[in-house]
Amino acid sequence: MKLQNIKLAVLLLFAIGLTSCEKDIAAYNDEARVYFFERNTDLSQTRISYKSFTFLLLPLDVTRDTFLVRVKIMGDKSTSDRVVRGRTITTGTTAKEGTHYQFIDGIVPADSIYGYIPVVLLRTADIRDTSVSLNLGIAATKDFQPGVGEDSSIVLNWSDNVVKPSNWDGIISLTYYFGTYSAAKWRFIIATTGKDKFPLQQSGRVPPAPGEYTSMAMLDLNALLKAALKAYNDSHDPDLTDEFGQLVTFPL
Amino acid sequence: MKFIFKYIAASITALVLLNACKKDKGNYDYITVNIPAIDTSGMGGARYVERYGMLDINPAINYDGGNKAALKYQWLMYQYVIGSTPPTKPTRILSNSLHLQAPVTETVGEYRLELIVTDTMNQLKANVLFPVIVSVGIEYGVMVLHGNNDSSDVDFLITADAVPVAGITPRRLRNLYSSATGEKFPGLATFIAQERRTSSTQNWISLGSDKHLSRMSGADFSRLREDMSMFRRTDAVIAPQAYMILNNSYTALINAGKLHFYTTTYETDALFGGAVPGDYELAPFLANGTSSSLYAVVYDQKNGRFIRPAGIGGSMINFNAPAVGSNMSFDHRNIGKDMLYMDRGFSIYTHSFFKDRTGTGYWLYVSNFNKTDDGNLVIGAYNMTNLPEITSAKFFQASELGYVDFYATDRKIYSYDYQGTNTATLVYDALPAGETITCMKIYKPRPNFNLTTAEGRLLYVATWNGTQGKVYEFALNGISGQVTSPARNVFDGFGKIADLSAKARGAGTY
Repeated sequence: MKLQNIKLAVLLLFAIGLTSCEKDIAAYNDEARVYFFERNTDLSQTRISYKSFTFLLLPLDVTRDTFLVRVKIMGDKSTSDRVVRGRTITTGTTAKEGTHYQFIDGIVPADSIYGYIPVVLLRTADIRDTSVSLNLGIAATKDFQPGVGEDSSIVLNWSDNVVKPSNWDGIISLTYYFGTYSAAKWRFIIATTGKDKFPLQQSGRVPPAPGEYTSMAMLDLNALLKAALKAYNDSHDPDLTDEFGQLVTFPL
Repeated sequence: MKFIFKYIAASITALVLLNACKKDKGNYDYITVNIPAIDTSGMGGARYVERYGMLDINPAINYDGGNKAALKYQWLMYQYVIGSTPPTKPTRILSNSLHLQAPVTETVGEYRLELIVTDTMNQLKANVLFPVIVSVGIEYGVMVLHGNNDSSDVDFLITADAVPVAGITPRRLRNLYSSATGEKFPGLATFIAQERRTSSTQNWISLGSDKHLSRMSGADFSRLREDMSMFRRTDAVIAPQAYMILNNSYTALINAGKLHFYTTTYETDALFGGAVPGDYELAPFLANGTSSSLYAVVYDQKNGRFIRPAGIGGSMINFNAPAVGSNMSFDHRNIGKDMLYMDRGFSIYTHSFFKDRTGTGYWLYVSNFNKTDDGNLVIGAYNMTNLPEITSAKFFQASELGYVDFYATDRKIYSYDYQGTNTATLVYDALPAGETITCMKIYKPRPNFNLTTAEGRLLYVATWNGTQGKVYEFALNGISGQVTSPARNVFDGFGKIADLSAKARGAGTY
């Protein structure tokens, strides 16, 4: 009996001893840091390391656009806005700062753990037929040091070039509504409509599938484009001309 | 012994097997088993019933040699589907009696009603099918848009004269719009129009007010879309003035003085694009007599001329110059008058009523827009200036049955013999004191299946006495212009009536 009590006591002590292994959660005592926090919407919120942008969907007179990259802080929230800023990581960067992009200050708002680093992308002539990349890092500011690990960089890629749609030519095709293809015309269509895909209803005998453009819809786009082209030509000299030296026109 | 037994057993087996080869001499006793026959003679085929209406079918059963008392009956109603599409509505047992008397609770659509007769003694079955089309009772009739300056509603009139269709009971359905949507139709109402292309799903009703446009289902008056959702472009303004599906299947809308149009049979594609470009401001009238090549003929009130779209997506253009040797009574490119009304008349000609901009002249110009523009579209110009009370005329209608048109002042109706004597005859002047006319329409159902004996032979006159609106249904002679008094039917209790329109079913199913 006595031996049993001793065994029980030893077991109890061992269990108590195990509880001492619980880890203390240390407070963050380092300086404030910030890291990129672009995540996919899947359950595990996988990391996004590459983002792209096209100027194509913007009106032709738009020459710059500000791209925002989401960041998250390390450390405590602040009661005031704090400044964040991007920097160039030369490795993997083909764009030229000042020519293709500019950095401006962004903020992490007060009482927030998230903010955005802005990069001003410039619509230059050379990106009409190529794309450029920026390996974006985080610059040290008065408020933040760059974070550490894989989220300390992200690649941005942007362009203003066009690719001829696969359904431009053929029996049921965009030719009827848009005419002969040219990159200048396609660029104008995209800039005017804000869309770069026009899947066509394949048969009038069946209801149009979601997202498909019917003949009536395309004819209305044709009218819209003709009016927009007239407005453009009335305010520009010379009239809109394509890469083959031909005036851009629309049929019908 | 054992050896002998083997032989005996083998012999017996051989005999049994050989017995199977015995020739069948056919000496059997046959019993005739009859199948119950369902006699549906005289009952017709398809049933067109209103939702919540009663189905009453009592077929005879012929069962010679059978025991009728052993029969059991089952009436089933199930959704009619085409192809391999599965039904979306459950099958329902309506009755277990031979005499079916059951309400139809199914929603609007096409169904099959099946009677299954089973002999419980031998489980032999017989069946018969009836197509059943369930509606909400607005297949045929007259739509009345009425209300006040702020909002309106729609009543539906079904009269024996307007709907000479077997199985249709005269009645009045009230407040369809608010019943369907929970609210009145907002704004000062301007029009109600049916948009029905037969044998297609294009079966809609459009309502317009000074600030609102709605599309309702022609089957059950449920709201399909409204306002900006009826346009393709986000910069559209909502100021609908006139709406019509033309005889060329283009649907035209005059909105804020501009023309929008489309042609399609799919509701999701039935959206108006941008206004046809051009320098014009339209009179709010459309006529149902336009060739496909002309798309939609409209009158430019600003510049005093008829114009038409060059095409879908094209701009407004003038008509061709009159051809050499053509009727030169007028030039569509240069009318220079104010349009009072436009309507389809006899021979699918377009009748346009005008008032001179200077002076006191009134005119009827008749055109044939139902062909390509060959420079020979003018039919004739008729001077209405000396017609009685023409300066007080507010409402105009053109008969499609003969050379007679109609105009109405506040209280009187005249028929106008434009082709013969060029005179007008007072054909009705018996409104009760205090009532003034707010709308006048000849009954012109489009499409006109089952309604040809009524088409053009009724005249609907709406009045307002300061308190309530009324609808008078007159018998009309569309050839002589005679209006028969008293009215065939009078309906009261409306708000101020802004518009009336025939509603027809068309052919085919929904």
